[in-house]
Amino acid sequence: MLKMNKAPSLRKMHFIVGIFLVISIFVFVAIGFSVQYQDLQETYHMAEKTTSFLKAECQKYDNYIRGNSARTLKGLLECAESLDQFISKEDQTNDEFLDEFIRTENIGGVLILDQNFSLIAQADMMHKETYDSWYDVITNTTIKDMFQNPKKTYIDHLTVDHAPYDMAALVSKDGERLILCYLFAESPASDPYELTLKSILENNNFYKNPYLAITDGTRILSTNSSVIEKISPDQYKKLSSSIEWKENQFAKFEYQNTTYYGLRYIYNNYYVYSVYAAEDVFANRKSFIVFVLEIYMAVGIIILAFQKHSDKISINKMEKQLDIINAISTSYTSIFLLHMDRLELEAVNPSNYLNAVFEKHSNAYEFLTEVCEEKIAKKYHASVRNFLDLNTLADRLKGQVFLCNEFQDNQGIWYSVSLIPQKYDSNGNLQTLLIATRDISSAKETEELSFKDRLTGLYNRNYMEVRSKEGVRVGDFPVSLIMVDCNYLKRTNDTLGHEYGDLLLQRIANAIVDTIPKSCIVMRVGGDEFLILCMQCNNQQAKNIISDIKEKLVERSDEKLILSAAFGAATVEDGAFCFEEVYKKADQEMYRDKKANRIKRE
Amino acid sequence: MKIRKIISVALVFITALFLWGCQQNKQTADHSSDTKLPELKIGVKTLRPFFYMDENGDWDGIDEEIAVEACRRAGYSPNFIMINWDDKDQALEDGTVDCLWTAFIKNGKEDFYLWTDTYLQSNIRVITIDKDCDKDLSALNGKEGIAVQADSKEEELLLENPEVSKVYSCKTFEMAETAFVKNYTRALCGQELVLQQTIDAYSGLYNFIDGSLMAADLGVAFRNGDDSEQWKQINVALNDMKDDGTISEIFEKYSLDTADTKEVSVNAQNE
Repeated sequence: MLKMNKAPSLRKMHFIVGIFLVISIFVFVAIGFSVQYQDLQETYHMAEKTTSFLKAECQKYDNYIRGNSARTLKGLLECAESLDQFISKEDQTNDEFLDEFIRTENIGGVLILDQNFSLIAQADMMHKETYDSWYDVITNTTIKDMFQNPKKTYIDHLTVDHAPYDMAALVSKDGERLILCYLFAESPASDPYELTLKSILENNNFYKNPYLAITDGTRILSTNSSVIEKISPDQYKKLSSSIEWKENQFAKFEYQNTTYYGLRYIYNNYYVYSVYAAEDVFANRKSFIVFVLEIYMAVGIIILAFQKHSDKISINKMEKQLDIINAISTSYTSIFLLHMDRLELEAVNPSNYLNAVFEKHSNAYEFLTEVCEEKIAKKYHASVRNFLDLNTLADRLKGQVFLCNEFQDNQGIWYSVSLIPQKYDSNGNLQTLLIATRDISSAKETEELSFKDRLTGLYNRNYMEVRSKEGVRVGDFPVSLIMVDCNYLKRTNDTLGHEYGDLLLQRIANAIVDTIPKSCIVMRVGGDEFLILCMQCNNQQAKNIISDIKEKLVERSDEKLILSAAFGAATVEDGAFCFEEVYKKADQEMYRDKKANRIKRE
Repeated sequence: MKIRKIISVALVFITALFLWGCQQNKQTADHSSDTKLPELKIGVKTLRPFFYMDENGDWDGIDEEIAVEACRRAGYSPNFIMINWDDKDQALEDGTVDCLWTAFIKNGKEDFYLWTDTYLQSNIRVITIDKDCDKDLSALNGKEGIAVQADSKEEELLLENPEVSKVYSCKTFEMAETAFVKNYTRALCGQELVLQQTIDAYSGLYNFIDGSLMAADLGVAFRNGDDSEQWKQINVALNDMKDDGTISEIFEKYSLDTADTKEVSVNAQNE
């Protein structure tokens, strides 16, 4: 009994699912990288716009600062010019006057020096003595040459005593004094709306919330990030120099275990940075990953459902076929499935012997050759080989439900072998067929028994009827039929009893069997009638056989049992052989002989 | 068989797609200069269009390109070092730099340094608002004077010029330019190529007045008395670049078509 092997179908399904998973992973990863790239490009373009905007703002700020500075310096120069005019007119150079002056003009201080740069008068808003500090500046800058170039006015930002100052200096109209006005440069802003770098960063929103910073290349001037604000100049220098800033693309770097993507833009003395955390750059990727996962799962479920449905249909088909095979296999000793495309056998229900051969040879040719030579009786080799001829198998099976043949093995056991087509392809070509063998010894024995006369052991009338339908082959001619009718059977039964009657028949039967050629077939066709079928036996030969039998009967007769019979022969030299006609003719000859013998006896 | 073929093609396609997706992290090529050459430390300052840092942090400018090419020919690796121009002499003396190179005018300083031959001449001119550009210097003085960078050749020329009664000297050219742009002065004096930047930045507002105060010679300044191999090689390279038109090409790249600014041929220099 063959059981349904579901492993191949499952394996196929697993294979398909596996391929789908591998392909899906590849597709998913490729799309993931693509989305990542898109995110990066999008953020980069935004970063470009951000840094361009900041560059414009820095330019604006720079102009603003420079404008403010220029105004301040201009103002200081105007103060110096104003003071020069007043001093020339009023000849006032004392400190008190200058104190009043600086307060009125709201400047940091003023120094008036002679041609030797000695102090004439000074005033300072903080009442500091600043002459000594300024003296170094004056004598080490272009100011020292101003008395030689009185038409020159000079403005500058400089550091005095580690403090930044704006200053303006000129030589008085009379060429005798140097007037220097100054203002401490970092006065607190009085205007709450004053433009600062910080206000630029704070008052604008930027795509994807970048970390922004503006530096002068050595320290951070302004930033929108508290993290960046804490970076010292040394840390900034170290960090910036470790990053490979790139043209037209992001620079990727790590800081405090976080990955960032940054863009740097330099405008004049400003270094503008736009930096994005990787998490913000690839924000879209997460949602896309979820979206793709959902699609992937949905597609996967659909494929699996489809595959399951497809498998179910296949399994049903296979089960149906296997049921047929199992049904067949209960009736047969061995069943093999022959795959016509590759001429390979598949053992369905093999006997031990055939299984052993199959394990050596799964190829149909080799298998059948070995079985034929080793197992089948020699006289059946040719017929079995012809029957199982693989070259003509498909053609012979066309239109046939099955083909069957019988043979005996070397031990004389009868087998039938059936060829049953199992599966056709869409073009009607045979794909597989079953080769089923069955031990028919019992059937043959029964058949034998139904064809044998129990008394004499000869074929009986049943056999004659079957044999008569088979006809004769061309090679069998001339064919003779000899009818034999036993004499004295009734008398023997009456006088000696049926035992002797039976004995009479047996002796006559044995005499016939012992006399006739081996190719002849003897049948007991009636109570006391025998029929001898002789192939390749002409009329003369038939007469000779009759003569021989008669001699044998005489030879075996004794006082109790006289063996005697009447004979009639009919011969067909060639052509059509009609059994009934030949039988009738032989029968008529037999009666003629019987009549002639009776007359003789009388 | 058929399905295997489809799967194989699909796998190849997917693999190609996968590999394309991985391509985003390609490395850029290493363009670092050849560091095996001896170094020439060049002291520079920011002065457009001669020497400045572009938006990507790279050095750019006429003098930058000339210096790079001259160093290449002379077999040096240029190292540009930004210095405080006020302290340039100290930087040269103490070896912080080997030479000074940013539109450096030789005139009047011939004895202070060891100069290369002039590689470029730069006119010293004055700009004013467009409607006044037909006026002369005396008319442009105004109350405030003409803005100029202090301690420069330009300032020296203005101070010596009898037409000029007031000079508005500023520590830096940017300060002078700002004062001019803010209308605190009516004119601005400087090197022609530098003033062109101002004209271009405020397109249509300003223009040159006719003539130039001087055609200044630009050269590379080495330490005086230092008759070094560096000076010789750079000088030879610069002269070669003049002869073969390289300096002209660099000049044209910056789209400077001011009529009077020109490179100097070797022959003209020798005249």
